[in-house]
Amino acid sequence: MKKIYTLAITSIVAFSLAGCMGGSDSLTPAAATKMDLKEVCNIDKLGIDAVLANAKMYNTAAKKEKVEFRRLGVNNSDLIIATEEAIKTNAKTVTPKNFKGKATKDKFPVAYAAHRACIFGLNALQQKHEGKSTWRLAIPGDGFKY
Amino acid sequence: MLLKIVKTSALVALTACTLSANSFNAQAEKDKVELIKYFEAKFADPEKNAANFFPYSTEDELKNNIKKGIKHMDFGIGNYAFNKAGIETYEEINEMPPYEDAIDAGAKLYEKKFANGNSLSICFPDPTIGGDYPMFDESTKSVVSLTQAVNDCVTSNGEKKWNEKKGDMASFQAFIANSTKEAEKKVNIKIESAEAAAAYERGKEFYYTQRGYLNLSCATCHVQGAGKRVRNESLSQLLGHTTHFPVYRLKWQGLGTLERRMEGCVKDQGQNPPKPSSVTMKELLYFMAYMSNGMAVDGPDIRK
Repeated sequence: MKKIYTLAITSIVAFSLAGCMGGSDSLTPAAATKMDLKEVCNIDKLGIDAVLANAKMYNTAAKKEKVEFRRLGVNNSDLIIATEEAIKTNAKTVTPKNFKGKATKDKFPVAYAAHRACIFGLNALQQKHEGKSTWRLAIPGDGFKY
Repeated sequence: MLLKIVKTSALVALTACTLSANSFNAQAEKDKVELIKYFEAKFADPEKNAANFFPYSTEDELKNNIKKGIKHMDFGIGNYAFNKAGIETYEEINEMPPYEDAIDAGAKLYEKKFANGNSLSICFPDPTIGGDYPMFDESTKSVVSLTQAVNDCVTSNGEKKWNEKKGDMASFQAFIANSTKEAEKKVNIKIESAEAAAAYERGKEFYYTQRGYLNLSCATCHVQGAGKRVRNESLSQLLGHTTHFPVYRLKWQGLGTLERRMEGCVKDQGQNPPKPSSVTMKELLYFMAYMSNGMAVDGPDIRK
């Protein structure tokens, strides 16, 4: 009886952990809307490494949803890679490569780059979810009245 | 008696098929009609309807730079349908069109033999098919763009895939567009199955969904924003967008395909754009082209 009880408890814990870990890889746009940008991308509160880890997680999910942001030729994933490198080498600024893999002239402070990468990652997911209920509002003859 | 039964059955079957085929494009037809109504209302009298359609435009620009009373087919030439200042420059450049060499190059590519002795002319015996693409392939249940059809032909003959945005692809498409224009053919996109209608709907959803760090949809600029000015440029309207591709863009200093232009648009919204032959891109073009159904094919053309 004790063995069965132990096995059941172990299984529940194992499944819960697996669920949590799986959750980070499969963050859905719907789940993303429940997250507070100011909290999860707050460098002062969480530290730069945690925010960058969040950025990576959100952006991976955004890429899966085909909604990754790109600003001035730089994909968010390239901004994350450049920020990681800057942290590794103790550089003060981040110089991301553009989507063609070429160096850009942009230079950002490391904390700013991590914060932006996090916001871009999460925002893309939240936007995807919101878009599902708003896109018809722009269609003449459907949701768009003039 | 038997002949009568056969005839009646055939007639019923034919009617059923026709009704059924018609119903698949019912929503798309409704969308098109509403879009035409919207643009005709918007450009009926921009000065008079400024509060409703052009709240940020100056009186001077509405009076002197935007034509009024524009009707459905007029929109086929893009923003030059209403842009008084732009049409002058456009006509000047078109006195010696920079894309003429590309049409000739495309005609040569049409006849040029592949290593195996075949040519594009075998895959496309009728070059006046510019208005029929993108089309829905009922056998694969997917949208096929002209770009994909050309590359399917090239690669199935053992050749290397062409660049989907410029070069030989754009030149060949210039030849196809020009042949279609000379034959006075129109855009003729068909939706003949539930799967085709679903592909159209997905393309429509992409078009109207806000995306990117700027939170813009294609419609923000090219439906609600059409006719408005961004810096010194007038935004063109969705109606007639696909009729004139490929285009020679002054910005590119060369000819480019519709996919190249759409990649640029999504990039401008602040998002990593879909690849030229991705399902997303093809379905987007399918929706856009349907909105131009019935308009004359008039590519290639020039744009800023």
